[in-house]
Amino acid sequence: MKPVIALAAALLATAVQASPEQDISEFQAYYEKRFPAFSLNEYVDGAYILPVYADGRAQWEEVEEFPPYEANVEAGETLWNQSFANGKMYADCFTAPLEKIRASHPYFDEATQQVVTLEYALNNCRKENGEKPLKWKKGPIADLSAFLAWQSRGQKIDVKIESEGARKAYEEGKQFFYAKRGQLNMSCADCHVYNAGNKARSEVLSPALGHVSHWPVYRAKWSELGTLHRRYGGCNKNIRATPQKAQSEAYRNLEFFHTAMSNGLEFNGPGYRK
Amino acid sequence: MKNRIFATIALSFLAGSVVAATEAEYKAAVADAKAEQKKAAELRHEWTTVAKFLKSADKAAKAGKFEQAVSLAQKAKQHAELGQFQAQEQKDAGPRF
Repeated sequence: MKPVIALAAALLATAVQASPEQDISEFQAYYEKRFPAFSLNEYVDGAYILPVYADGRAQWEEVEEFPPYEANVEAGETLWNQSFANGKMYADCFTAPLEKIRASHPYFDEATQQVVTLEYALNNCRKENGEKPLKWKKGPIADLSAFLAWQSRGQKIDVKIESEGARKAYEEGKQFFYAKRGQLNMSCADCHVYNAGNKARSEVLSPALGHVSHWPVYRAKWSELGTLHRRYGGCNKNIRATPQKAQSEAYRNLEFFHTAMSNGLEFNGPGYRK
Repeated sequence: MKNRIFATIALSFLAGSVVAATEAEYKAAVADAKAEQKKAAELRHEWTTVAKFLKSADKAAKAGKFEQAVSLAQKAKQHAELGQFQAQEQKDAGPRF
């Protein structure tokens, strides 16, 4: 009897839950309605597309002409071409061609039942080849990520949620995104969906659509390049929530959902932000 | 004179026992707060205020201000419990378009 009840409950839950396709469609339609002047792909430039940021955009465009992350891309290329102690290289760990590596992450790995982000894959590669893993938030891992992002510029974001395991990870990421947390009782969505384009003190809240397209980012605030999970941690701290660890399952699932919401937009990393 | 000595000895014992009791209370309050902090962290809803209160409590305890330290540890516990409550409240969170 019990399995029947469990099956019925599971079916009911599936019936109630929106599919990822529905979620993506509603998410993108929300922004189209909120800011009708912009096409979807313009969101890859974040808050700089908004009229409230008109002055900031000119400055940002100037910075992007001679971007501060150029040296990081070069450093990343050098690291990419270095051999490990066993003679193998990063390229040996990836099946996709160089220009598609960034664009093929994050993905759900059926063997480990885990979401694999680009940085997670890079460190897995190191571990498999007997190398010490790199620190997650900045430094060499961000450089490697910047090099691969540069190669994938113009590729479409296309997160696939095709199995039960992937769906579970996606739903966990979705719950994390919409759940209010921290002493300020705010969710990712409270700022970056419902209040996108509004100001929090002097800063314009960026739209969540297109958020993931341009990482790693050289932030003026950091005066260096950092990864997406470094930013997740900073965002959580802003609302007085203790951050999760970079590349923890919670943040990888969040990235999985967050990236899926921008399916169809183009990767344009690395980027520069205030 | 004898009475004064006895009174002083009695008072110092009393004071000593008060301090000892408060320190014990502080340690118990911290243990309680840390247990709740752990539960909130497992739910991924720990607030940054919890660690801040515990740090201030530790500072107060080191300065011998046990009453203040207990009060801060209790605040830490309260915020850890609020994080757990928030996790429960938000477990089915989804879009509101």
